[in-house]
Amino acid sequence: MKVKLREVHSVFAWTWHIPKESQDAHAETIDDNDGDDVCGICRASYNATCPGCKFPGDGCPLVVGECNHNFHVHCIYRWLDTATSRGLCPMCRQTFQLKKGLAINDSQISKFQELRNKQWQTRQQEFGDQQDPETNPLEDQDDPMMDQGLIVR
Amino acid sequence: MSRAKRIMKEMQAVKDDPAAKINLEFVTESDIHHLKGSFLGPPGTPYDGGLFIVDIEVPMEYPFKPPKMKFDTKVYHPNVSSVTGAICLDILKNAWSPVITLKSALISLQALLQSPEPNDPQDAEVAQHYLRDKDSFNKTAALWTKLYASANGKDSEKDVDEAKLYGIDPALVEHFEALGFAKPKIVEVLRRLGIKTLDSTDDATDDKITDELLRSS
Repeated sequence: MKVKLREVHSVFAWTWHIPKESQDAHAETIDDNDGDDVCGICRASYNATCPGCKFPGDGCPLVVGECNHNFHVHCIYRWLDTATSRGLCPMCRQTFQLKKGLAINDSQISKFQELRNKQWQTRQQEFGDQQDPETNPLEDQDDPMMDQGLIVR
Repeated sequence: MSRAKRIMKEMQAVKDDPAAKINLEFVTESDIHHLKGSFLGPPGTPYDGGLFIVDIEVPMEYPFKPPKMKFDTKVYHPNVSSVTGAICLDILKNAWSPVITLKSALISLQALLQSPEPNDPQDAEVAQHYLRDKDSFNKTAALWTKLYASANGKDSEKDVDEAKLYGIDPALVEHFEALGFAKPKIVEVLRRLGIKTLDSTDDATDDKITDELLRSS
């Protein structure tokens, strides 16, 4: 018997690949209704878009934090850009930094670096600090001000 | 845009978890940014048996800014204004995080009822009562729960003894009533001075109250 293929329709599915350990850390802190992890900020699936985007995928990627918490890049950027965030991860309140050595984060590094520099400058103005602006802002990771837990008052 | 989507998702999450006994609904169909939430008073506290209703306003910038929450139900609690229902809770202010939901905020309020923070009060009078005489505070808080927060408590609201409502010893009020002062005035002055009971030998305080009553009448 001979079969002649006239046409082929291919269907593809994709999901973001979230590094294993970061997924585990995440599963504990987020309600997982349909087996589909959601971004803690917008509550939309990682594989869908943040509320501001129309097309999922490279246009609306994820980032993974040093603390293994993931968000849509647009969501976490918008949070870190507010004064109330104090640069902290919304989940664990550690200073939010992109995890190093992940392809998914690489394209965002410069954007987040800019944001950190901007915040550093604002903070300096706020406190009227005399500190040398040449000090590397990235060394400012253990600021006790940043280390407040979730205390119910 | 992001706000509307998230609110709808949060609504669903509350509906999907009836075990939490938390309710969340829109005030009107046309405005999804004004909601009312409610939860039950935590067991083993003076708020047990009460249903507490919270007014929720969701700001434009939500979830990047916290929702505005205040109690509609009158609550006798150090961190809640007994007059306006304003709430003093850090996560609704500077400790807000966008991963907190309306549901988790309501659960935090429930936890706040369970563990008051009298040293960071919203209502100084109530906080003083709590610190000075916890038993008396608990009685008053339970009375408020019964009067204002119980499902069928609405009709009993009228006939409340004012002195009892603020945990003031009725004998103390009677003592000044016998001197010819009006009861509402006595209660007002005693509340202002933060006095709930008085030792019959404490003439100095007795005089202070009388002076205050004379001055304000």
